[in-house]
Amino acid sequence: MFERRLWRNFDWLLLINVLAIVGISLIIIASTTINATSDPLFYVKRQAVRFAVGFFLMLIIVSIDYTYFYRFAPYIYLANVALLLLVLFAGKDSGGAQRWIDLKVFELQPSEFAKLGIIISLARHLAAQEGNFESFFSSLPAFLHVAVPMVLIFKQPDLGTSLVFIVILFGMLFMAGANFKHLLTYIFIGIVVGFPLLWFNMKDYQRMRLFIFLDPYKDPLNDGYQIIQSLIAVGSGGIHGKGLFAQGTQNYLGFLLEQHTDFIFSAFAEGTGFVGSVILLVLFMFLILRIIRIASQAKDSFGMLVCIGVATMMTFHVLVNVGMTIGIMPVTGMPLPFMSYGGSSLLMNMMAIGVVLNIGMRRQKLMF
Amino acid sequence: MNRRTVSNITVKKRLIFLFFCMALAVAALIVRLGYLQIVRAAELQSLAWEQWTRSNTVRAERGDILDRNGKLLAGSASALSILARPRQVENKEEAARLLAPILEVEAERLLELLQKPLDSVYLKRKVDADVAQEIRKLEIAGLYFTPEPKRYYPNGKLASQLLGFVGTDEGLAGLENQYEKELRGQDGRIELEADGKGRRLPQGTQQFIPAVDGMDMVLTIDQNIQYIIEREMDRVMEESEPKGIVAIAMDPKTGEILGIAGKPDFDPNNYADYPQENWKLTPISNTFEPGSTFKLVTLAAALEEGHFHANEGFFCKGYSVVAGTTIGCWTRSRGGHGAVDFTKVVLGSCNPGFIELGNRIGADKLMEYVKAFGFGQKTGIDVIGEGTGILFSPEQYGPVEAATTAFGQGVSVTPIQQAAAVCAMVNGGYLMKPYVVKELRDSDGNVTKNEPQVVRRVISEATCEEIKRIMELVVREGSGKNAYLEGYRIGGKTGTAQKVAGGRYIDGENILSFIGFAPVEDPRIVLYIAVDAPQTGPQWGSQVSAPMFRRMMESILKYMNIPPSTTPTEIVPELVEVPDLTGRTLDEETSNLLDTAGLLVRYVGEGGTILNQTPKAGAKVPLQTTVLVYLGGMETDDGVIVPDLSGKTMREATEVLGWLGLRINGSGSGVAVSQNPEPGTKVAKNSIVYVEFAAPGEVER
Repeated sequence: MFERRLWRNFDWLLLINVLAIVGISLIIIASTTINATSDPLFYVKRQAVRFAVGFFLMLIIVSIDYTYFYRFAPYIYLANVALLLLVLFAGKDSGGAQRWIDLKVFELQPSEFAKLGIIISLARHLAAQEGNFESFFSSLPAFLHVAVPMVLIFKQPDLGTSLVFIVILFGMLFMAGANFKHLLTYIFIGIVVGFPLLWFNMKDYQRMRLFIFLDPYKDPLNDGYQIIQSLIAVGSGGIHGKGLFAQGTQNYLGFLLEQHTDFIFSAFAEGTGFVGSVILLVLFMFLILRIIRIASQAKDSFGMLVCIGVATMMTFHVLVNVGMTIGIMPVTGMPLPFMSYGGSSLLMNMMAIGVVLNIGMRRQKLMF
Repeated sequence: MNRRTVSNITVKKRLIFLFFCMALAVAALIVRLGYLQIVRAAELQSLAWEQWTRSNTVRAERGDILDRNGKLLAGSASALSILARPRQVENKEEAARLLAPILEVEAERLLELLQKPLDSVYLKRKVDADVAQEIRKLEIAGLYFTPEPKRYYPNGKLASQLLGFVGTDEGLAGLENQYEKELRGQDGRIELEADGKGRRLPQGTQQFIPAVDGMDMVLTIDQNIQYIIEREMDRVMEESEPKGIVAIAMDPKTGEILGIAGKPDFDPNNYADYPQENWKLTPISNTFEPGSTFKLVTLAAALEEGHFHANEGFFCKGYSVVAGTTIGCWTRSRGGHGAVDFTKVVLGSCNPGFIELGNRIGADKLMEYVKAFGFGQKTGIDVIGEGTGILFSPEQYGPVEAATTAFGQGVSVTPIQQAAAVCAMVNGGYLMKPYVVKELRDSDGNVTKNEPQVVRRVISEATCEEIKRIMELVVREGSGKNAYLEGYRIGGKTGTAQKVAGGRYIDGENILSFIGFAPVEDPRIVLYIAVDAPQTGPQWGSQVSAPMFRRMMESILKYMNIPPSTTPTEIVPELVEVPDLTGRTLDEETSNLLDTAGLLVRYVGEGGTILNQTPKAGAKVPLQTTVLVYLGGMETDDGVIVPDLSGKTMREATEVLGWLGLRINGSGSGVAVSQNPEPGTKVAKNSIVYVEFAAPGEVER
């Protein structure tokens, strides 16, 4: 399928790193859902199938020269916006938010895929700008580029995911060579102008959820409950943890909720303790490092920027998700990459890794 | 393609900066993790343990309730409660829709539960195993099953008022409530050692406090006797439609309750479907004016004090004047009982005769006996909710009050007091404390026994013998003939208690009671019955209660393997002569006439006076035959109202229709089960009524 040369540039460590995290994920999902259904491996099996599909998608992506993505970036952008519009008008309502499109075999969450799609299209946009950021307003087109999908996602409402776009945007702008002072000014303006704007566009429960982490005991039975239980789970894991599949854990006793989805890290930290938590975070750190390494070796700005987008996105997800479970970030429902149970997130992350591997493989100019 | 336009140096610098920021973020996470998992670990561990121990109660199994022969009256089965963790239920609408028919809960309600912002909600507690199985098959994620004990009562309504029931978590009525502590046992816990400051040591040894299962409770109740009693009560509830019935069967020697029930009752398996009034044990809680059964107390006192001489003459002129107040006898309208002896005073339930006896005993002495027999105070039966009854207070208690007390008016008593008092009259004079709990057995096999308890001795052996003799005479020759049971020696006394409401007697609503015992030579069982305001038949005497008593006693004696009496006794004539009832009303006197004759009566028509009867006056019929009478009121100027013939034999139906000038066209044999035209239809004279008869067993109600 590939030329030899491409295989030589294939980042095996990155792939092994991803496989390690997914492996850990499957074990944790097993330990958290063992009592949930009559088939103790019900969730594990489903997630394993999704991983297999994701791996396959990754292989496909790896096999296509990423310059095609550059070429098709506008269409990727439009397709994502169209899907987001679709979900807004014909999406499946669940728990007060409309985030899914029911494909019968699979519930598609377009906002997940939009992250990767926007990274690709924004990378083309910024690459095309060729480092021309002299004017203060030179970043405005990039902002507008991201604003459209972001607003659509914010309307679902999905505050967490829409914030990811801002972080990705800043990360990529920074690497595209935007003026550092300008960026700081944007951030300042964003806080002064954007924050109140955001605040008044939020629903009450969103505001409550956003700030309850500061004092979860304000509402210990509802919004604060999950945070308190998560803190207890993580903290009671101690240095060595209580062991996975151990009885008498927060996870086992069902105090912890969503312990295989958004709060999977809590269950992991309870079972494996500080040692396990640090190992997992180091794995993530190493993953990001490998992606940034590929960024640094990319043969063009587009490839470099895509890698930066993916790295920023994953870092932000790890930061917000883990931060949420340990009470330093608001509860926003952001999955932990490769760890949380759920199809769209896993598929998108596998595809993102595929794109990064692709860029890494094709880092050298072709020599005939 | 696009060239690198930003200098490589800048890109490298920025990349390093960016990665540094990212590493910083992850480092912050690690710092925070270290703080939680190392610094605060102990504190959070104890919080976790606390939650754990709280959730780790080990449920004790509730003790069984058994009858005296070890038959299960109330037991615990393991049921499953269905718990949902709402956030894990992916498709809530669908889940609610699928679960609704299985759980028999409305889908909207389930959806509401599934949308609650709680970590877990009970969808339904304590469902049967097959229900749980069906739900398992649905494979809905987020549903959990937790085992919980569920109380069940294999005999349904049997002894329900006594047993009470268990709500979701604890006994709420009856013995289940009263013996909650004993039956429930003690839940176990998993706990941790505490340090000197009382803090739990997270790494310390766990302490397991095992659950102590509840004690099994063995009752004095005999399930078969209970069943016999309730079967007859249910029958009378249907036939006579009274407001209620109470019955108590007691072992006179020990005070053990062999059977106790009140109707209407309830099914403890579905207690919520019944009105709350049905839950309490009416035989111990209800109080009413006892009427004639109370005369036994006066009789006992008079005997004991030597004032009663069976053959001494007495003249009843129909009333008696006490301290200027005239108190009537029920025979007043026909000029009293006339010249009788004191045996006849008892047999004829003569009020002036008993006033005389009371007078001889003396007001204070009489009250002493009333109290000595346990009236005016709780018997101390080991079931909660016992009534006390009311006696005249010393200030109220004058000659008139003493006189009415002597024949059972103006006082109020509970059924259990009456049963206990009669036990004392037939067991040699000992007032026994009634009880229902025979034994409590804990899970280690230790048995706590309740022994029979003598409250006090009230009368002598000799007095008892005389009371038994006289009570037997009541059944053989007096108003208790309808309780006569061939081959057995039975003693008894009828009573008509007037119902009091707001200090006044309620017209036409009486409580018809019967108290008796068997066999006379060695009393094994005392049986008390009171029927509250039966709707069919006369409101007086023993018309309803005596036959019911006889049926119960017959079955109980046979069940207890008590052989018929071998002592030769005078033979009660097998045939009795039917008196002329025409022109009479269905009043106390008519009832007594029938009671003493040993005949039962049923009626058709809505008028007041008996116009016709079958069998005719002067006919010789077997003892306890039912006389059917016509009270008039069914004929109008333009036709006849068709009577309700259901339950009547073909002979009776023919007779009744004949009185009304109607003709019968019958089919089948047995008792009438359907008719055309329907009862209450107005038809012309000489019309034909089609009646279908069937064997009584086939009658479907």
